Amino acid sequence: MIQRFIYIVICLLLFSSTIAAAEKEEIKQDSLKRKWYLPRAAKVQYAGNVGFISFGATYYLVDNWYQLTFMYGRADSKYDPEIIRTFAFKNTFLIKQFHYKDFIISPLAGLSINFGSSHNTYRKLPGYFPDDYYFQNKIHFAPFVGAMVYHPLPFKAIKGIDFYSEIGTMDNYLLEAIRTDYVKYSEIWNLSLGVTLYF
Amino acid sequence: MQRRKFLKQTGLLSAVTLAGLLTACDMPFEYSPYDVVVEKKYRDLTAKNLAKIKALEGDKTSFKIAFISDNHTFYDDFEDQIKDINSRDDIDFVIHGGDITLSSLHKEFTWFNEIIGKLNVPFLTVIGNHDHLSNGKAIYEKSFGPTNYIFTFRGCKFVMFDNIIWENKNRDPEFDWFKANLRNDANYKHVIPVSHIPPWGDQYNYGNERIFNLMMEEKDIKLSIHGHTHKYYFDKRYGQIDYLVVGDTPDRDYAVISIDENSYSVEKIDF
Repeated sequence: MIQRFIYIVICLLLFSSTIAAAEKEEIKQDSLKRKWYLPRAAKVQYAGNVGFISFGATYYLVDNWYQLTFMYGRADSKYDPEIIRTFAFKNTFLIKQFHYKDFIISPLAGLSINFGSSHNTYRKLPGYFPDDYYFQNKIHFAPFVGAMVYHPLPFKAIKGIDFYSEIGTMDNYLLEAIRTDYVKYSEIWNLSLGVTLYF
Repeated sequence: MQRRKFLKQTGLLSAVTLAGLLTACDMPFEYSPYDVVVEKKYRDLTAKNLAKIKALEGDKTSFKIAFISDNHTFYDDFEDQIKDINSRDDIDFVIHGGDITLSSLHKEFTWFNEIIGKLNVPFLTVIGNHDHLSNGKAIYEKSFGPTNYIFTFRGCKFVMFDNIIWENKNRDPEFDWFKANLRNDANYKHVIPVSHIPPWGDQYNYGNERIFNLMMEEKDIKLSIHGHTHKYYFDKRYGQIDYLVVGDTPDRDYAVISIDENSYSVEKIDF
C-alpha cells in the first residue's frame, strides 16, 4: 500500500512538473506555440535494459539541465514466446555543456525507473500468494552516467540531433555488489547507445 | 554546403566516439534483466553433468552425495560451501535442491553457474520457486534442461521433480509424471525423489500433501529430499518415510548422504 502511494506520488510529481515546465516554456517561447504535451525531442535507444530497441518522448523539465523521457522498449527472445516489455521514466541530467565549433558535448547522469514485464513479474502478487511473500520484481531503479554530442540541424522540423552513450546498472545488481564480496562493482555495468532528434 | 559540412563533422565524430566506446570496454549490452540469455558454456548443464556421472559409474555399488539447497544470492557463503565440498575426496556428486537465484535474473543464473562450476565433482539441480520468477523457468531450461527428469547411478534411481505451484500460475505439479517415474521399474536398490518443496511446505494444500504421501507409500519410497524451508530437518514425518531438508546457504550446513546396496545414512556437515 505504502509502495503504491509512493509510486503514485512520484508519477504525479513527474507529471505535474512536466506540465508546469512545459507551460513555462510555452510562455517563454510563445512564438513557437508549442503545446505542452508535445515532446521536445524523440529518442531511439539500443540496449540499456529498456529492451533491444526502445523509443522515447523527451520533455524538458528544466531547460538545458533536466530532461524526462518516457521510453518503451521490447526484447523478443527466440527461446521464449513471451516478449519482454519495458516502460521507463528516464530522468537525465546534463551535468555541464561544452561548446566546440557547432557541437555541444555534455556529460550526463540520471536515474531510469523501469517497469518490466515477463512471465512472472509482479507489482502486486496474485491472490493465491500470502501477503509479502515476495518483494515486487516489476519496477527497477537503474542509475546511469554517459555523454552526448549535440549538433544543430538546418531543418525546420528537426532542429538538432545528438548521439549518446550511457553506462548503467540496476538496483538488484548494485545491491549484490554492495552486499557480497563475490559480485564486483566492475561486473554490474552495461552499455547503451542512442540517438535524439530535437524538434 | 552547410549540410555536407554537418554530415562530415557529425559522421566523423560519431564514428570516433562509437569506435572508442566499443573497443575500449567490453561491457555487455543488456536488453532486460529478464532476458533469456545463457552463455554457451552454461547451457545444457544437466546433460553435461549426467555424462560426467555416467563416466564415474565403475564397479562400485556404494556412493556419497553432498546435498545443498537455497543459496539464493548469498554468494560468499555459497563459495565457502563449494570450497568445503571440494576439500573432501569422498563425494561422488552434488545435488542442489533448488532456489539457485533470488529473482531469476539472468545475471543471478550466471553468478550461480560461475560458483558451482568450481566444484571438483558433477552436480545436478532441481528448480525452486524463486527460479520460476520472471522468465526463470525459460532460463533454467536453457541452462540446465527439463525441470522434470530422472537419472540412475550405481543401481539407484533419482526422480528430480519440479513441484512449484504458486509461481507456476497456481497449477498443480505434474503428479502423473512423478507417480509414473517413482515406480521401481528395473530392480533399483533405491528410488529417491528430489523436489524443492517438502509436502508440508507452504505451497502444498492438504490435497496435494495427501496425494504426494500416498504415492510415496504406494511406491515404497524410503527417502525423500527437499529444500525450501531454510531449516535443516531429517526425520520421519509421516509413517516410515525419511524426509531430508537442508537449510539455506547462510545456515552454513549441508548433508552428506551415503548410499550402499541395502541402506543409506545421512550426516549433517557444518562449514
